[in-house]
Amino acid sequence: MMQSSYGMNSNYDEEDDPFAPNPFRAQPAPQQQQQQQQQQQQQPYNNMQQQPQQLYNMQQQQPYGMQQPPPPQGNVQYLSGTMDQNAAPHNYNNQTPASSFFSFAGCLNCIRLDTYQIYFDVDTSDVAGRLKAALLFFHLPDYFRVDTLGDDRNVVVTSETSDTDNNQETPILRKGPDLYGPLWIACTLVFTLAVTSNMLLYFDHWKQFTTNQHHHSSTTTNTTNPSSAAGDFQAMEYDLTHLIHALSVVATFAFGLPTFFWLATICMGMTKVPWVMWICCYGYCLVPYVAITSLLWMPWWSLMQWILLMLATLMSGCFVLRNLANPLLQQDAGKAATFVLAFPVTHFIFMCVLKFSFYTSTKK
Amino acid sequence: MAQSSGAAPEWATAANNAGYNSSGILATTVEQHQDELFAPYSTLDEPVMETIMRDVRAVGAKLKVVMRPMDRAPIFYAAVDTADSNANANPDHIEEMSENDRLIMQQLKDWDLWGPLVLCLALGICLSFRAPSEQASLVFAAVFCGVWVGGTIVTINAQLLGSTISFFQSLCVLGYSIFPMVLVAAVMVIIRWAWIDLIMVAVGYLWSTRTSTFFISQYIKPERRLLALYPVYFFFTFLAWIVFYF
Repeated sequence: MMQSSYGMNSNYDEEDDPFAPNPFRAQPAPQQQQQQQQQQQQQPYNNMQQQPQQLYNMQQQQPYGMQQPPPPQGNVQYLSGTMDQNAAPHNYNNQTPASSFFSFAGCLNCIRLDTYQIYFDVDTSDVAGRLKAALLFFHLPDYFRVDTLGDDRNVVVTSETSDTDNNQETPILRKGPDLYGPLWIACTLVFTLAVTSNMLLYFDHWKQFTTNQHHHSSTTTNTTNPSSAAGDFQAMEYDLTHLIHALSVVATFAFGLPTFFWLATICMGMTKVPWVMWICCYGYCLVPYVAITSLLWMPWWSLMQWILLMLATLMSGCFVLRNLANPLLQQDAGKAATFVLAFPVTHFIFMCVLKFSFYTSTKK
Repeated sequence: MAQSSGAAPEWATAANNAGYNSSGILATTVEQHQDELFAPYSTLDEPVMETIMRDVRAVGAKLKVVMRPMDRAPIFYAAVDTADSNANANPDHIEEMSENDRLIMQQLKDWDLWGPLVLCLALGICLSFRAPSEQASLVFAAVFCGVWVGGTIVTINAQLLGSTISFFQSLCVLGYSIFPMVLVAAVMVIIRWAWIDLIMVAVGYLWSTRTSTFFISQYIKPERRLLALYPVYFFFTFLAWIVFYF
């Protein structure tokens, strides 16, 4: 086997069937799940000192949520992806973790690829459905979290339309939060920000160039690309710094802020929303921003830019508020009020940062 | 880089390049051939030029593979294969590929990283040559890091989505696929007219995405093919934007 020893991932063997069955759709192990349930019920909710570690251990074994086991119904399928209560993330291909060093603390599992693979168990149709829900149903309370991602539901959700001939309800699988969407929506937003803000610079250069021509009526080169040395230099300087600024701003907002909120809620005792759900909601809330920034490449008036950005912030903030406020308020209404207030405020700050960093022309 | 093709004698590599395999050959027979070719062979006594030229020829062969047209357009391949996979389970996709495509895939499996390194350096040098002297090093660093980090992220994404792709093999294919962009960047050192630039970059982009799309879509399920291909398109769009704008 010439290829099997190459590459970092010796788990993947190209000589085998490339479409091996997903181990997270394997037969469940009911005993493990019941033990975890007992552990969860025995530990009191307000035991704050042990709570973070307990939660982390449980998140290792039960990757998403701490829900009840699925009731045995007739047409139920085993849940897949992150909703599979009985999946053990370390048993990929029936292998235990490779070295004892990794199993020493459990914290080092965050740099292993296997721990994140369960959050990428989505199909194209799933991601398309989530994008549609983020754009169209942002105002419905808990729609994205419950109906699209499948939070709080342990059974398969039946579809509204019956496409088969019999009258049985056809089950649809809800796969839980994913990390594919947040990652690539954030990357798309970074790229769109960099490209559109540079186009604005280009238009500024062009306008200046044409106004200079009118004033001086000189016979310089008549090309429309910024080939003059000074314009080229400035454009390039702004190009790269805009890309790097966009990367840092979007990374902070899409990954740093939800992680900060997650830590804060954990420390305050509201443990219902796991880290992946925070990242997923904040990732899919960037979709209106992507849509709006791809319109901002034209040289609108400044007021129009504000209006468009305000529209995106409204959609995005509403989305985050509707989906994340309810589970927090259910757990602790007093402390959760701080977060419910923080969501729109942080969105507004993000909008101002976008406007003043990328869509403001500094020369006149 | 003896591990990639160093053990094979020169005549065997030339035979592969010439397309010696007859039509209708199955993958198992090809493997048997390769087992024979990779029999122990001492390279200690050969002249240094021979050692260097072996890797140069391997790089050249893969560059030709990347530029060679496919029999079936990969965009249509992604759409057509869904129906085929639903009809009959065919995980190896052997009889769906034409002979030409199978040869291409077989050659791309023999990965090496010299080619991507040389191409990445060439792209960085071309772009920093066009930049003002204060920005040259920044542009070069951005291109270099962008290519390698971007390739890594695309590969890891494909692996996380459940494909059985090998990390370095995928990195190799992505690195070789930027060869059309390198050609476009080299031409743009001389020609800087806006509309011609745009057309050249568009053609280079389409050509670059062709091989890597075809390669990556082999290893991933049809339901997730677009999820794994979107980062590939994104990566080449990013490169195309840098080549065009800088």
